[in-house]
Amino acid sequence: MTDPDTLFLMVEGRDDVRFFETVIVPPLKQKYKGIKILEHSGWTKREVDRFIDSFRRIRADYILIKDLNSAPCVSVRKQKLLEEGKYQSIETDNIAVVVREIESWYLAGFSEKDCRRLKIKAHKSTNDLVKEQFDQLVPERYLRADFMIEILKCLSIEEAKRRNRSFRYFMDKYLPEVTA
Amino acid sequence: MTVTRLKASNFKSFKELDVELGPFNVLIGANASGKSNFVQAFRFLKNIVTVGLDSAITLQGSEEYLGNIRIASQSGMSLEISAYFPGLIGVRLDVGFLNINTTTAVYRININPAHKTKKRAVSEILTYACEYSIFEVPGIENRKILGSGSIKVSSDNGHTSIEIDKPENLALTENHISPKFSNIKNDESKSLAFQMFSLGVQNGKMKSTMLNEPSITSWPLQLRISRFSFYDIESKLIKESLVTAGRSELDENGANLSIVLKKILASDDRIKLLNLINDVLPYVEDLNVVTSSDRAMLLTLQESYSKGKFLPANLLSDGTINVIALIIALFFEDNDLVIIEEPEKYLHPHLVSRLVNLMMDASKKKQIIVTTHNPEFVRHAGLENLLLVSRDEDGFSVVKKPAESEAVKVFLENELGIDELYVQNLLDMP
Repeated sequence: MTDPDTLFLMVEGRDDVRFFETVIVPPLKQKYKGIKILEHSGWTKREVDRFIDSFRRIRADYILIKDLNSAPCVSVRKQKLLEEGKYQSIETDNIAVVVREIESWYLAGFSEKDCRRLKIKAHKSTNDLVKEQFDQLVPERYLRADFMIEILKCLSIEEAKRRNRSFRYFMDKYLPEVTA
Repeated sequence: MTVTRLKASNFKSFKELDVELGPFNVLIGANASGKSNFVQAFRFLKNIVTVGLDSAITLQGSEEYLGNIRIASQSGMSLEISAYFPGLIGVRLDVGFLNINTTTAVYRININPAHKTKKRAVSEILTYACEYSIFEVPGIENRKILGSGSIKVSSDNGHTSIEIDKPENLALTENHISPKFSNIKNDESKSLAFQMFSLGVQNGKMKSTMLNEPSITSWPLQLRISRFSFYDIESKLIKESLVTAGRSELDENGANLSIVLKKILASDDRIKLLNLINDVLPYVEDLNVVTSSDRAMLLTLQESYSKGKFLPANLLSDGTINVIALIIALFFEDNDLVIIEEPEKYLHPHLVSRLVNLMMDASKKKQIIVTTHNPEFVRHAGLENLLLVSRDEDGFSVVKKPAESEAVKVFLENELGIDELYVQNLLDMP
């Protein structure tokens, strides 16, 4: 049996798509011939089941990416997701949890020097950063999406791994070769 | 005639294109994927035939924009169109009356752009595959099948020739099938296709088989290509237009809709038109074209909501106008291939399925190519009719058939809709 050559990344919204397209997909292309990012936010349980079954039948890898939200830790979040029923068909190992929200991964990769350049507060760790805090950091001359794009232009994977635990875990698990 | 295949090399965003076409073809793909360039291939072919190569190139911008900008500018480009082309030509020979039945026609043009001191080099080949049979006594049913072969007309930088592939011992010569061929020889300035088309039009014999005066220049592939029709209906423009004169064929943007409608409403086709419109737009009760004192023609329409009153075009919905124009393009215009850009514009999703059904009906009599971004249109069009245009890793446009994808089949078996796969960009899976 050969290794799967397609990977499906199921993410929640546009901010996640932008981050994964720019930061995660390029290095993953060494491993997979085809990578598809799917927005799953509107899916019903039936759709989730059908997609997951299809991924398995075509022997593709898949990862469901979810925010930690208010859960106290990753394992509780995963447990809750499975209990909710909608994601029952997904193995725990195929779920990646972003702590706490994708904004934390954005800001984690923005260096102190770049923070000084844009006159925003630098965070030693973004493990506890939530969307609302991120929104408050957006400099006045930027729109939110515009600011996120600027961050991605100079995002440092090493910096992000140092400042966000869940990003480091994700990279070590799925992209260990990117570790410097 | 049905176009069965389109091939291109170094044409606009395509490095290589080879796609088979059916009666109903729905072109989908992201913005800037190359859908319009696919349509331009047909437009370029039509222009080569109807206005000649120089003008056809000018209408595409210039030679510089004909090829792919990622490929060296001096590289050659080619276009090839294959068609199912049943036709008959009769030739009187000493041994009897020869029938040449055409089955397919292929037209190919290669263009090598001018570069430094080198002039532009053009070659064209038009090949008819055919079957030969002979009636030893004309009119009597003693047809003897002689075999198959082909007739190839080619032009290389203005030097034209005819090559006949025929069964051995058949005394068929160039002179038999094209007595006027010398008229189009050796003219570098015009395309072979254009000259053959022009000669055929001058002869006025493009529409019939040439039993009495056979001539390959009269074989109507060029005529068929010249009747490719393109539509990108602009309903807002139609609503604002007050036309006094214009062509009797529907304009590409539909601006002369009221002129075309007036003719149809005065003919026996009136009921047919109203039935078809009513099938998609059940609230339409009647149509009329009124002429004002300054001779401007204005479309008016009676809706079931308007208490018997006719409303002028400027008060009608864009979707209503769009559907009326499309129905005329599909069912009332004399064309073999209709290419429509975004036909579902301004239409409620519920009505899109009706429009698709109407197009499928129309495709039984004429070939249809549409471009769309609409998931509802995709859902109703049927997987087998979809052509997905996307960009490859190097940025070149490629056309795939989602129906041939094993992954897509699995998704569909799991009862995920085509529209969902389209929205999630999964139709290009291998």
